[in-house]
Amino acid sequence: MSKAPQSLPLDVSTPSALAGYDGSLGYQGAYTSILHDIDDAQHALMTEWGWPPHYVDCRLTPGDTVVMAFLAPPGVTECNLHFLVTASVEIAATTSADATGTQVSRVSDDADSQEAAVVISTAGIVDGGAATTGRAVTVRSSVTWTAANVTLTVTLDSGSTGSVYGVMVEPIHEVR
Amino acid sequence: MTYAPNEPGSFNPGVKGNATAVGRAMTNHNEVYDAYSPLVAGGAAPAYTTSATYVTVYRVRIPANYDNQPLQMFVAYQSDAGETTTIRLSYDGGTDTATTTSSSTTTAVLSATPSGTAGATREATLEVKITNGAQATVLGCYCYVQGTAGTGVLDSGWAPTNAEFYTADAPVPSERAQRMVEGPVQIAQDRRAGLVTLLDDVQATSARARYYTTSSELVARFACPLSSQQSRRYYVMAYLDNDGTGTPSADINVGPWSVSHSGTGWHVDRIYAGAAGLTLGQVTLTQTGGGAGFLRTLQIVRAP
Repeated sequence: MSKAPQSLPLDVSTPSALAGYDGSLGYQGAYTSILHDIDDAQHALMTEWGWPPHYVDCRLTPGDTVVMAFLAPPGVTECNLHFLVTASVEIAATTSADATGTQVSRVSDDADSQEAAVVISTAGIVDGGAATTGRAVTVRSSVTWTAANVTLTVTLDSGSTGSVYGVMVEPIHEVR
Repeated sequence: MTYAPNEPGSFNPGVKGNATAVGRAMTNHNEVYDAYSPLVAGGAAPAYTTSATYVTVYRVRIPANYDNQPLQMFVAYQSDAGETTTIRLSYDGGTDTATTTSSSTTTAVLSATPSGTAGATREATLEVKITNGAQATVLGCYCYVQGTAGTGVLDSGWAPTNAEFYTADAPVPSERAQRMVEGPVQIAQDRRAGLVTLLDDVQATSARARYYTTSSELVARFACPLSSQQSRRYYVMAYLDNDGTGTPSADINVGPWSVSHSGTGWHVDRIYAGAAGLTLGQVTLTQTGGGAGFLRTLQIVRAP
């Protein structure tokens, strides 16, 4: 059995009826539906709805490396990375749980001007993917339901002509 | 104990939750309160000082937290070798400090428990000092509110409940059921998730600041994940500063939505944005009356 992450908005519903618990039959009717809503809302808070992506600024010019930390959400083992970049860039990123890491690049004749910045991203979970596949980075080796500190290292190749202005870490909430 | 998801379908209509599933949902009510700690703000913004007394290097705003739960700030910093660098987190009456004498990157998690009355937002600051005029460096931080389920009804309205409903023939207190229905919403309202942070050293002059102008120019672009499935409110919180003269103002665009501010200090707005997905935003900073204007912090935080 597996359970999908929840992304429904959290809305208050009001218990409309309560029934006693029968040791052999469990909860019945309306109260079962209330428990269903409660369970979904709890899971929404602990998965997709509760832990959205977060963008932070950084300023990398060719040859620069920045080390930053973030909180890996519960239940998440991999994260997509989105970079706000200009011109041509080759970016390598690793985490404290992923020494191989990932690489993403962009080729463009655009000027190295923030006005022309665009977002480039990793490509999600790629089974067996090498760094050059642009895969998502691993943030922990197995599923646990507590948040964990993760270090992210981003390097802009010295052969790039552009800059990296910021990084957004997007947790991938897989079906568990 | 930690949060543990129930099997899917445990409570589908027609599927009767067994004692294990019911007990887990009740236990999770408290576990979610303890475990839900989304990032409010963060960033890799190098900050420096040679001051022997505390100077503020980062300012962030922490919305809600009516329950006065501790703010945790993870900080990466380092010192000139042999000198003592001290960092201090302050948050509405609560403080915490850490020190290092190492010239290698050192990490610390500071925890400050506020004692005041929650308003719409409260400020938290990170300060730093170092001995003998050497240089202290702060490399970056991130912060979140970490809850601990207590007893009784908290200021957010959230209240714990015991895993006691599944005893055969026991009466069902409707108040406890209500607590479980509203619990996740109350937690989400009290611990807002940050989507964007632009952070800079409060001490940075125009020679080093990331976001400054002496005239009028675009100082920052950013990506904002407006990924909600429906329109909802977002807090846009900006701290504007100057170098002693003149008046800074900022035009902040998040996709098609925009807010404008003028004058130094914190400015807090709410925008009501649609389900736009990944959206580009930008900040145009204008300085009038001479001097330089600075954007020290920009946070965009989801408001359930």
